[in-house]
Amino acid sequence: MTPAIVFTFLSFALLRMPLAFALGLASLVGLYVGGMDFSILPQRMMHSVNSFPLMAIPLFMLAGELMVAGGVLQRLVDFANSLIGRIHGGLAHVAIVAGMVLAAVSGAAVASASALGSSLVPSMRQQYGTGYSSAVVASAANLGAIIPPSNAMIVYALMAGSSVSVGGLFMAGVVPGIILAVGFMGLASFIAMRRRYPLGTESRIGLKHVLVQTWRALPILLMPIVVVGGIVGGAFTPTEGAAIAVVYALLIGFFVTRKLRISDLPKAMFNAAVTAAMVGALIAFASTMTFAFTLDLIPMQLSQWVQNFTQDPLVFLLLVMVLLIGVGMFIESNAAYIMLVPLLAPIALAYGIDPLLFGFLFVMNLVVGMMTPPVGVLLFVMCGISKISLNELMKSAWPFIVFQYVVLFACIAFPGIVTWLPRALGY
Amino acid sequence: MTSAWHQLEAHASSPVKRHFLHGLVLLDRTSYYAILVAMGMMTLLVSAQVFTRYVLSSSIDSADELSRLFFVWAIFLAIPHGIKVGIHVGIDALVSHLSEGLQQRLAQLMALFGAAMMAWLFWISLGAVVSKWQELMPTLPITAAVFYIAVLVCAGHSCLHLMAQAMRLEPLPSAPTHRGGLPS
Amino acid sequence: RFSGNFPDDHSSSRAMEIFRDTLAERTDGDLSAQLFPNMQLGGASENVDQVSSGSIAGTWVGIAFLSRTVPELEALSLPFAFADREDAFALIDGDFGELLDEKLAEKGFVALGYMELGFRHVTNNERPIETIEDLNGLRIRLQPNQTHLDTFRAIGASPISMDISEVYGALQQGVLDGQENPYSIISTRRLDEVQGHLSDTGHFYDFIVVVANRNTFNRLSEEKQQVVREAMAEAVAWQRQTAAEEDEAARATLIERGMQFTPISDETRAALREASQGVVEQLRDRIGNEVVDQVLEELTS
Ligand code: NA
Ligand code: NA
Repeated sequence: MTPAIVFTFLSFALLRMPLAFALGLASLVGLYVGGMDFSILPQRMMHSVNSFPLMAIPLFMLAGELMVAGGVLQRLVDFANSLIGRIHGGLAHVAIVAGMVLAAVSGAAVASASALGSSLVPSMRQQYGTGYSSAVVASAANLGAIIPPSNAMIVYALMAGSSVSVGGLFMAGVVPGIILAVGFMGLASFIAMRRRYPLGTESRIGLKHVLVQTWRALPILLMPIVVVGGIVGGAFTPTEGAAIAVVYALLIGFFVTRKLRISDLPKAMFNAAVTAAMVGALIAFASTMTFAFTLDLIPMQLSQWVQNFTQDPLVFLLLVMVLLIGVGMFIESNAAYIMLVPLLAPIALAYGIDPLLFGFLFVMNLVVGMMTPPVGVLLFVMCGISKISLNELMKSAWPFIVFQYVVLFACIAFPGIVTWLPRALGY
Repeated sequence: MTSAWHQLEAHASSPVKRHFLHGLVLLDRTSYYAILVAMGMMTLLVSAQVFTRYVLSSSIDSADELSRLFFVWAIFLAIPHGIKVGIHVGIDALVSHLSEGLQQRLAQLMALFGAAMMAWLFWISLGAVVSKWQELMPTLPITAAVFYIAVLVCAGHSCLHLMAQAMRLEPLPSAPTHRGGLPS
Repeated sequence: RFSGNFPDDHSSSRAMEIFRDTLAERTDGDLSAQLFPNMQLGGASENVDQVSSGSIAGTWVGIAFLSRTVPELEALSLPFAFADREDAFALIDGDFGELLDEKLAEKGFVALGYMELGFRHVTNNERPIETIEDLNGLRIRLQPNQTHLDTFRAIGASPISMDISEVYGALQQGVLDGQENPYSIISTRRLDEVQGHLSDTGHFYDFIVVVANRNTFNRLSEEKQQVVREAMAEAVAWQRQTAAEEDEAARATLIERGMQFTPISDETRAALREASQGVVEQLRDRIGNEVVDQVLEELTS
């Protein structure tokens, strides 16, 4: 099935068929060639979308839409401008800082991207252009799966079995997450200076002005504390947190900014559904392809190939990283965890590689993979929100992607970055 | 005839095409309201679950399953609207080198292939719905096939929109114009 | 092709490997089974759909995921019904098991064997379960199964149904006070990291059933069908013994890792059984007196 699927998918994708449909057609052709029952397609489509954690996506998108409709954004922009409007790439820093805060409360990069994207891109694009704004937001959102809590890490730990503890893996992400965030800000400043992006509308920073804007923005600044705090503090799960965010956004819109009207709600709900549906369509149609690959034992053959290649742990680790960069390009990350972790984690253990280090590198690699074309959930989300083409987004996104891979390989060179904190805490 | 009928005169020349588009408008409108219901119920159920847990210290047995059901419906109902407004992702690296007319033709051809795929999917999903009809959901006395009906509806509705694209017909916006204005 | 949602190292997955090897050996490679454990081909309810439509030959799956198709299976979820695992096996290998086989066959499945998933036990973060009152108000995650939810409501807890993938986080964050699972699952999912108290409530006994698509199975010759059944019988026998050993080992591990173990006293168990009688009545309404009576009868004899 695999060659037929890969060939069909690539042919149609290169002829500019929407990727979801190219995946669907390739799946059907693959099922036909493999003599499989076609009912697999609707089964996989339905079951891959039918997941409670995934529901956070439309909910966070809805919260974002409501914040836009409720005039919340202007207050946030005013606040950010009053504070760091004089720094090069000011609003980009706001996005990254917000992304870090969101990351500390949400486990999913995709949900962060939809929340950040729908609330920040509309104002950022006026200053920096759509492509750059989307690239910054996608990178900031990537922190969501690296800074704890992280759904990806939970999935990894479950797939890897008892050798890796979820808590240990969480702690492994803290230091690299901070390094990434600081690095993103540096990169944003550098790009902003080179491209001479405007400094913002504030002529100078005045204390009184900052205080006024902070007060006006306070209900909005409290939102992540309520939502994130609620999730971290144990009041609710991330999906429920997303629903709370919707309720919170409604309350702010109706009673604080008083710009939200009942007649705004249908449009917000419809837009959130359509944007989420784009991600949903990809997940749904890609799931059959993954299924066919699994039946063809492609993951197993890959891992055998790697194992035949070398006996040196470092070479093995580097090979796995290169393999995952490739996998991350083409396969949806959850599917990749499900297929590859059970195969590769035991091999890594046999090579004597620290399971926490291997687990973290694995997760981070696939998290970056969510930003690499042609199949990258974060790219799809950002394209959906910003209504730009993949090409245009990639023109601005590549420095951020390269930077993340640099950090990834730095973690291999200096494993202490990853393992120091969890070991210090006794994991 | 609805008000949409008159607006359609600008969009389709022949009566047959106009009837097709008019039917599509009615379908879009129905699906639009269904999406609102699904999104609303989903949000309501998830927040109600938090509320009942804290305030009433109990849990709605079917909330998890029912919210997922509305979620699945919202997603699959919204996919055809996504097709309509053209927010689907593709790789245009190769195609962008072609002439404008050729790109247009290619897009129509791809829409036709897409429509064929959706028609195929519709047929397969019909089988899935039929075979699943007898089975009930774990906490609700509803047939478990309702999940697959969402896929079925998505496939049929998407097929019609892709056919419209292949024929270069521009459907009208999903939302009623007198209320929320044009969507996106 | 067989799909499963249990991890590679779960006793049921290893038993399936024994089945595969035995099958290949006895048929000189004529018949071979490919195994896809660990949700490689999707979650449990999806696996059932795949077998039902014939796209996958078979699956090994917790019995609850088939109770939507064959409601009679719910009779096995009678709360506090089994004194020990021997009781449970006697029931499933006896007349009632045959009845289930017939019901499954009507829906297009062939039951090849029943393995042990195990007794389910409550863990929580609040307090040791010494009396029935200790369960009062505890927010406990359950599988989305009406009988399970009703039982916990009947014994005073606040049941919450949630996807298993969210349970670890929810327990850690305090969204949930507790959960219930067999020892082996508690241990492999590392729930001891986020739970302090362990008990041996044993409120439900869960089976894993190996089902195949009936049409796929019937296409095999009589002879080969027999080989398949024999190979599965060996795998099942091995699994039941191994699962029992691992259950005990998992409990020891959990205690060793620092969970406080509080056994349920006979009085408390009697009180729990008494409190959940209403659930038995509801089950009678739902799946019929006959089936429930048959189970209760076979259990007492
Ligand atoms: Na996070
Ligand atoms: Na990618």
